[in-house]
Amino acid sequence: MPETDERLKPYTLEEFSYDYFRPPPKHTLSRVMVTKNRGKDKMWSCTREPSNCLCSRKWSTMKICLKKRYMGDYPSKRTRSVNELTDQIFEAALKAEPLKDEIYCQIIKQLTDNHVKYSEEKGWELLWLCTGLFPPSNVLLPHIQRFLQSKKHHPLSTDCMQRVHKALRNGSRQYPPHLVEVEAIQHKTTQIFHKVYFPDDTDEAFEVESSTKAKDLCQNIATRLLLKTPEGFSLFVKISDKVISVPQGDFFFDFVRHLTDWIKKSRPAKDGIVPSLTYQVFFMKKLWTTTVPGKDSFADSIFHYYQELPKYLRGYHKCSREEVFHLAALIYRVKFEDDKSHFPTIPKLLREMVPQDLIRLMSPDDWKRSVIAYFNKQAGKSREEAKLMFLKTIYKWPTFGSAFFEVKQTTETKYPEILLIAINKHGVSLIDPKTKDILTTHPFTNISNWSSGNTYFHITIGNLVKGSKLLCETSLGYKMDDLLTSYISQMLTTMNKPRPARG
Amino acid sequence: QDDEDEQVFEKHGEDFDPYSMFSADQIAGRDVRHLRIRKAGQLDLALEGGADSPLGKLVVSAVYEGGAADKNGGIVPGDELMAVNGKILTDASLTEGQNSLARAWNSGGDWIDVVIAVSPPKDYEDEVTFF
Repeated sequence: MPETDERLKPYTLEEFSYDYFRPPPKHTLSRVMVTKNRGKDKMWSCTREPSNCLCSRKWSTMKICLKKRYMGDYPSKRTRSVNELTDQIFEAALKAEPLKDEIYCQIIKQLTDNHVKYSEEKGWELLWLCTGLFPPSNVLLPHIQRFLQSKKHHPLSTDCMQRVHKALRNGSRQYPPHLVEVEAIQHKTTQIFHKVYFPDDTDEAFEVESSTKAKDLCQNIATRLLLKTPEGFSLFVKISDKVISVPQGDFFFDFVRHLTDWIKKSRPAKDGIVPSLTYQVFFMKKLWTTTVPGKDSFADSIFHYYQELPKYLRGYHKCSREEVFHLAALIYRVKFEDDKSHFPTIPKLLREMVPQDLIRLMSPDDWKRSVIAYFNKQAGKSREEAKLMFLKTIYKWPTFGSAFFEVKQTTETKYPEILLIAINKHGVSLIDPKTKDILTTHPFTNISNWSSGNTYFHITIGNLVKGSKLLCETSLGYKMDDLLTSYISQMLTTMNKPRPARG
Repeated sequence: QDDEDEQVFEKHGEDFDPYSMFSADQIAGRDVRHLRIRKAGQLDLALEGGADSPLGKLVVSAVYEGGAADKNGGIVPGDELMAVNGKILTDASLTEGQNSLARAWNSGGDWIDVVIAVSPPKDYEDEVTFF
């Protein structure tokens, strides 16, 4: 049924206010009615004076004033950072459920009969941000819907409605809008694109919405890159000197905000100026449990090859001389395909082709000769085939698909003081960094406890009756902790899945 | 006063002998130093571990940029905190250690005295890992 603007009365929260706001003490109401000379008296519409809010008295007037500063009714003297105001507006509501509806009411109220264009636009920005954080309660929802319907000529009205539905489906955010969300709406864009980096040094922009969770973004990336499955992959945020994986169930913007807050806390502001922190988002394989070279050619080509290569070059694996020649030739082929004109540069490129601790075992010329010999044996293979052959060779080793950590340990006298720890699908392996021999591998089922700090990682293997502990000095304890948690969590999820029916 | 401009830590006061405060086991062959940290602003030093933790001792986990500990320059993450203002902390829990530091910082005087066991330089690659 088409409704023209003329016929449709602008929806207000008048009805809602009668039911749900506490009626003011009689004298207050009459005082207000006397001082307001704007025709129909409306407590629920925009006024230029700070309102005696009928809403809950626990709502501090401070926050109302701030909202008014955002909307320009009382412009603040001091320029604030972009999201400082939105933080102050939304923080309280995110922590206290009842305040969520109140924020909606306040915003709608400010959008009702607001004849100041600038102020009204700001109100819509706040509504757009609010609908990205949490939905109104079931009781308020129909009123919000009707309000948005009555304003459907406004460019943001439909998007706000969609955001409300997404918030209903995905749940409430935990943190106020991210800088990126605030800047987007202030620049009148409703789509936010975020760069995601890949291990092959390429990157692409993906849309991230207020309600996007890490697992949604992972799925979108996997779909666009034509990967067979997002399983085992994760988003990582690289910030300051840390690389931290994003939990699948977290809202993307909440996670980044949480991380930025945590890092800012550990770096106190100099002279009151908080450093702005830039970060990069990576998408990479994290858990290699089901990774088999050849099963997913795009995953092999963009991720697995480029993730395994640097670990190989650091000399973490035990490998034979023939394997090293074979792999060096394949690496050459990935770089240059069939182009033999780069042969003379092989001696200079050894660091990129041979594990760093093995380079000194032969002269550069001897290396060149062997690489060329093995290269010729692989004649005709393409760049992509070379990547797959590289992976298939490494796949034979027990250390395939590992995250490696060099640590110092003082608990186990039978192991060297400097140890290489590998965390992979087999569990936690302790490796002699000189010989690359695997000293022992602890399957995940044997690991009973672990903890970490800034300077250490501690793990308990076995049980109280017959067990052992390992205390490692490392500044990467948080990574080891997270990996262990993720592998074990994945293992438990797989164990608890009902088996698919056969036949 | 000249003292205020001086390098603010001393390696060993002439009268500081770690073996008079600690056993050889506790020292474990490390370089044990006595430092005086000037009280200016915040100490900005974080601890972790404690005698009752898997770490078994109180270890500096962070030295925040610009704080008094940072300006002193003689203490870094990984160092063990063994005593504060004469109070021995080798058996202290994390809370006890934090409280001792706070009390010392907030008490009178222009300095706090700390004894630390320097963590040896790392001869392994600690900064980087690949997934």
